[in-house]
Amino acid sequence: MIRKYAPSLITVLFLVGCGATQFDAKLPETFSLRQGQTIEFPPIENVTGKALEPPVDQIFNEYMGSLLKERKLLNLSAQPAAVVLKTKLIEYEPGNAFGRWLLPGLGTTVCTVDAELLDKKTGALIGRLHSRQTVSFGGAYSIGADNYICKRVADDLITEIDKKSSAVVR
Amino acid sequence: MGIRILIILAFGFLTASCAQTTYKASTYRQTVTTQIEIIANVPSEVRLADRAIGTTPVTFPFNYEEEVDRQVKMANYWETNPGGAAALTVLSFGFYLPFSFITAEPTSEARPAGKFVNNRLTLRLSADGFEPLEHTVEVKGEGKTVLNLSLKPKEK
Repeated sequence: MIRKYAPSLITVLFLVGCGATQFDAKLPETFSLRQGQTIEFPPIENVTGKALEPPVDQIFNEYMGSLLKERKLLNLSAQPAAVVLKTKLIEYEPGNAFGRWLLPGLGTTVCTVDAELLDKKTGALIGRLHSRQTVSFGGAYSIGADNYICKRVADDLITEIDKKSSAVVR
Repeated sequence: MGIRILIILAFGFLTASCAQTTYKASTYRQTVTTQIEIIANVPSEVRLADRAIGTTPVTFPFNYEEEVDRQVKMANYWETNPGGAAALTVLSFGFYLPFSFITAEPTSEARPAGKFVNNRLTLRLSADGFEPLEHTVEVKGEGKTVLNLSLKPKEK
């Protein structure tokens, strides 16, 4: 029985069991972005204490900026933004695909970002978002995780921002 | 012979995993906001450093930072992905089991260190006919702090 289904189960496992997400959002129910309100997005601050190779901070900045721009949420005008999205890269491990192939958990790729939404006018903290993405299992197909892992974090953040934005065209 | 080696390996990995401890990997700062409400016995102008806040009663947000320690612990795949570990054990007919206890994956936890930075503010209150008042307050993560201050009339 097991032998019969093992190949398909392994395939499924390779496809779905490759990583994990830890996401936590603390945004007040009352907070929302109205039509026309924008977000100021300063570059992510690297507080890992490590030099980043590949430059995931730049990758994150470009990707997060493009996600905000797509939604017309990125502040590009002279008018002040409604909120500031302050992000900190607090953990990054490039990992390696060979390690993950050898043993799940070994060579895990990790990216953790702590994001704060601040009121642009008063500077007051509105809420906090925390996302940790890992790729801990897989072989050759997981090559490149060190490049895309922080993009997954950006996707987590934008999904939560979308929920609070009435300006987003879905 | 093969089974013996496997048992020795499993024992070794289990022992190694039990010896793992949590360690502080890094420290970073996060923003904290405390709403400061100032009530005075007479309507007074409130200033924070060179910035005018308003006339009492007044409430304003005060931002400062809190240090957060990032604690790291190496964990095995059973701890981080029990479903995956179970599936691999079954699919490998138990071969994966002894290796599954190797603590290879870093798990991370952020814990506020209870240390605050730039959390002291000095307020200056002034009103006509009253002695100016300077009041320093230290905030430590409270959501709101109410200050009930009293200005003394100027001596004639």
